[in-house]
Parts: sequence; structure tokens; C-alpha cells
Amino acid sequence: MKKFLLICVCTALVTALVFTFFTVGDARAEVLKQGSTGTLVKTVQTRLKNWGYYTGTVDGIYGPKTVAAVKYFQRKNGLTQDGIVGTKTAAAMGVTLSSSSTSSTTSGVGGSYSSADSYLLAKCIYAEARGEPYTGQVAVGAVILNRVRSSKFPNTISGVIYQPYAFTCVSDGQINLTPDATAKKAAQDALNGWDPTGGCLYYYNPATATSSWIWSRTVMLSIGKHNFAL
Amino acid sequence: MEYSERRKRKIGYIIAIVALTAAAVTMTVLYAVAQKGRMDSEREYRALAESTYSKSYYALLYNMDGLETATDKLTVASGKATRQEYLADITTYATAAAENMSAFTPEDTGDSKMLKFINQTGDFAKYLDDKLNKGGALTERDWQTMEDIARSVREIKSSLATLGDEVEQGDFSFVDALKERDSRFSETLSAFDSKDVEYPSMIYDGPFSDSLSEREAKALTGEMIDEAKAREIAGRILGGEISDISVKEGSKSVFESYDVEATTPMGRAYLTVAKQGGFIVSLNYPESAVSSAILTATDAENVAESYVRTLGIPSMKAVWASLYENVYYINLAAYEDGVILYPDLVKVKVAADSGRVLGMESLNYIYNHTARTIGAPTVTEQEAAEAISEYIAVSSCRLALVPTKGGGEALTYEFFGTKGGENGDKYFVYVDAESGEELKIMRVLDGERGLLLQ
Repeated sequence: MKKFLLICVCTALVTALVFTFFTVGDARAEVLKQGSTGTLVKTVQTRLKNWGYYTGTVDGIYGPKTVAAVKYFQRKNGLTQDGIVGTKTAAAMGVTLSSSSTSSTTSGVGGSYSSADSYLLAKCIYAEARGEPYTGQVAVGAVILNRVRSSKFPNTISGVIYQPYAFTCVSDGQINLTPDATAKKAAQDALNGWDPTGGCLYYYNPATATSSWIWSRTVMLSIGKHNFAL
Repeated sequence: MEYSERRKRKIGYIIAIVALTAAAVTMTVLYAVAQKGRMDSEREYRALAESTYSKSYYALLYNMDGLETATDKLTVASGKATRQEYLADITTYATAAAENMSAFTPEDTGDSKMLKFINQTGDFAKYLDDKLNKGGALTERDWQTMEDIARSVREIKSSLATLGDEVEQGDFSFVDALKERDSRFSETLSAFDSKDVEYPSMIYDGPFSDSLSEREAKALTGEMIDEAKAREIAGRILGGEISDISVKEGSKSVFESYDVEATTPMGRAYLTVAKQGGFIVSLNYPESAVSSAILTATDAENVAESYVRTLGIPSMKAVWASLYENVYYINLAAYEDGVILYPDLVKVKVAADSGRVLGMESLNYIYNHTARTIGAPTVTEQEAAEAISEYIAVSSCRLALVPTKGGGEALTYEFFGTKGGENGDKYFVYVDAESGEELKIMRVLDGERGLLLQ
């Protein structure tokens, strides 16, 4: 009925990144304080400057001026005025201290996704694939996660799911149904690394798909009513 | 009499007509009011949706401007500090632009070359920044790639600008454009994919690198098995009392496999067997709900270790256990000559009430496990320990091979310790066993979904 049935590609990158939390580069401090340097400090300075708290240069060096600006920010925002960017101050600034900026990565251990992400994934699985065999439900979850890790798609679960017309269930509102226990379990299994599709980025229902493009994809396997493709 | 009868009837008609007219008028008025209300709120919804897209669009233009400025400046920067500054800017703007891009889907396919380019650009700049941090230099090829990136950014900007002309004229609607992608609008939206732009191919050490697109199943060796053999293996793995077995062709993306389903005393089981060598890719019993947790993590680790041995995967050691809804998620890594090999990972799910194995998954092992030559560490444990923050009280240390960005591997000392006393936050710190430099820090997080590493 709807044309934009979900479709997809396989980047093997995906499962490549086993423990990708090992990605080098953001092994920086848990907190930013006087003497800290680097990209994160720059991000903090940029924000403070944009908001009028900071007048110095954005140089990535946490000096006395930055300390003063952070204190000013903390005072205005009802935070403890210690001049240190810790978890709370970072959150107030919208800066992520510990995780990598390329959320393309996946973790082998339970995943670095939040429980909100896990619930959203369950909602999408339920809306798209309830009534499908269990592996088919896990497969839909796996396709979403494969997209998150692909450079060609948005880099977060919510970004992938809410990309306009990417999923029928978002267009017709079924995404708002409450997922059942099976869908939640399938989401958990997908987050835990079970990928029945072997890295697929698309799926479609051959009985209803109208996009001519989708037929040109190489089908890797079919589960229930869905074909999964690269 | 007759006259008055007729008169009465006439009056009756008049009353009826008046009443009907009044009713009709009332209905019409009510309908009109309701309709207006509906249209008003429809207009409101539309305006809300429209403004969300417009915001993303303008933010995208802003960040592409920033990206252009930063790449242009970088191509003429010659100091290390300025180079690093502009590289960091490129990553920041690219990350933001990628986020803005996700509001639009340029194609039926949902994927976008332009998004890939932007993601890679941010990733590539981060890689170059890291390289400079470590004292490395930018190569001729790095510069050439940067020149290519700068050119592509300019082309994308001019492509987006053509869309801008339409947007500025006022009667353009992103909602309509997205809704009717088959019609004239699709051409407009294709500005978001910038198909005519020649995107550079980027090979570097990073998660989005082109060099990573080819994976191979390193651990798979041996003869190809047929369906009958797959059925036999399934019978062995799932135990004797199984019925209703079906064997189908599985995915054939990186390697070929059979998908086996069977009914067991524990419910329907799903098993994927690689054709080459009959290696078990994944096994899941989804039906079982576990009511209580009796086993300790160590018990569950023992179960998992002996289970993978029965699958024929030798020398695996449990490295992580997390309890979620009475199920232990155990990670096992290969263990050779005193070194934990984190890339070669197998995951096993164990029921915390009975110790039944509820599932396993070995894709990481299949992709990464191979015969390696791991050299001896060049720095000692004591030297490596010096790289660790004084705030961490180290309680244990071992050698571990860890995956690095871009598919590489590094031999490290893995230190485990706490910050702020024995019950403080727990950390794993990885120190390069060759350079003695701190490579990565992982924090143990006790979250809603069990123990996680962040």
C-alpha cells in the first residue's frame, strides 16, 4: 500500500567494530578544568562564546578566562560555581564529555545505547513487524542498527527511525503503538548483536513494495513477509 | 371546520419548514465553524512541521558555511596549532551538518551520498587531528584529499543554494516536497544528495573509512557443508528432543549460511550455521522468560565458557558479565599466551535461574579471529602504569589486544581500577604496550540494562 517500504544496503563496517568503544581519540578527561586542552574544550568555548559568556579566543586551551566564563555560566544556570565542566555543567551546555562524537560505533558489551533508545527500537519493531516470525522482528531491529552504523544514514537510532518516509510506521503513526514483550525482547537481542541479516540495510515486502529501485537490490535472505537486501 | 382544518395543516407545514430551515442553518454554521477550526489547526500543524524542516535547512546551510571556511583555511594553514584548530572545526561542523541532514530523505532509498561524504569528512578530520597530536605529519595524499573535500563542499553549497532560491520565493513547502517526492519536487530535494558532486574516496583509520567496506570471515575455514550436514549439526547443538526442523538458505552477504529452526523443550530455537566449516553463527531461544536470578556471575561465566568449548571454539575466557531481566549476558574473548584478544568476541546468554544457555552469537569472532603474531610488549607494566591518572587506584592489570578505530588492533595493558575509594566509579584504562601511551578509558556504568561499559 505505501510505497516507501523499508529498504537497505550492507556495509560490512558494521559488525567490524566489535568493541568499538575502543576507538581511539576520546580517551580524554572525564571532566574539563583549568589546564585541559583539546576539541572538547573548543566545543565548550564555542558554546560559551555563542551565548555571550566568553569573550576570549576559541583556542582549545582551558585557561583563566575559560574558568571565569564557566563560573559565569554556572552562576546563571544555578550550578555549583567551581569553574570545572563536570557531568552536570556539560549536560547544561549540551556537551558530551565521554562518548565519541562518531556515534557510528557499536559496543560489544550490551551496547552504549540508552534504555530510551532500546524502547524506541522496540516500538519501531512492533509497528513494522508484529506478526512476523521472531527472527524477522530481530532482523528489522538489526537493519535499523546497521543503518545507525552506516555513514550513509543518520547516526542515531532516533535519527534513522524518524528520517522522513524511511519507515511506513512513522508516516502512518503506528510507531506510537505500545510494543509487546516480544518486540522488546527482539530489540534487546538486536542491541546485543544478533543480526540475522548479516549486515543488511534495507528490507521490503515484495507483495506490496512499489518502489522500482528496491527491486534492483541484491536480496540476501527473506524472513516471513520481508526480503532483506544490501 | 374544513377551512380551519386546512389552515391548521398549512400552519403545520410552515412550522415544519421554518424548523427545518433553522436546523439547516444551524448545522451549516456549526459545520463552518468546525471546519474553520479544523483548517486553523491544520494550518498550525503544517506551520509547525514546516518550521522544523526550515530550521534544519538553515542550520545545514550555516554548518556547511562553517565547513567550507574551515576546510579552506586548513588548506593554507601551516602551523600545527592552526591546523589542529581547523581540523577540530571541520569535525564539529560536519557532525552538526550530518545531524541537520537527517531531517531530509533525498531518495526512496533513504541513504545519501552527501550524508556519507559529510560523515566521512568529520571522521577524516578527526583522524588527521589525532595523527598531528601523536606527532605525525600530514602526507601529500592527506592534503590532496583535503583539497578534494574543500571542492566538494563548495559544490554541495552551490547545489543547496539552488534550493535556497526556491525557498526564498516564499511558496515553497518542505512538507509538500517530502510528501510528493515522485513529482516535480523530487528534483528540488535531490539538492540534498548532490549527485553531480564528485565525492573523494577517503581511506584512513576511522569507522566510516572506505577501506572498511570489505569484510571477510577470517575465522571460517574448512569444507562447505550441505543442508543435511546443517541439520545434523543443529540436532547435535540443540539436543535430542527436537521436532519440526526447517533448514533455509540464510544471509549471503559476507559469508553464506543456513538458517535452521526447530522446536525444542525450551521453545522454538533459531540457529544460524555458516556453510564453511559448519561454524555456529548464532543461536537463540526467544520464548523463555526467566523468573529469578539464582546463579552468580561467576557461575554464569563458567556455564558460558564450557558451552563455547562444546561448540568447538577453543581457549575462550569470560571477560564481561551483565545481568538484565534475570539473564546473564556473558562476553567471552579468545585468550592466547596470556593475552586477552578482545576482537575475537563470542557472546552467550545464560538464564540466571537454571543456568540454561539461551543463546549465543559469534559474528565478531568470525570476522576477526585468525592466527596472529603478537610481539612482546616493549614497555613494562610498571612503565605503562605511569601513564594512568593518579586519581585511579589500580587493582589489576593484564595484557589485552584491543581493536582500534579503522579495523586495526593494538597490544595494550588493561588496568582495572576505581576512582574515589573502593566503592567509587570503576574504570578500565588501556595503555599501549609499545608506546606506553594511554589509549582508551572505559567507564563501568550500572544502568537500567545491567552493567555497561561506556
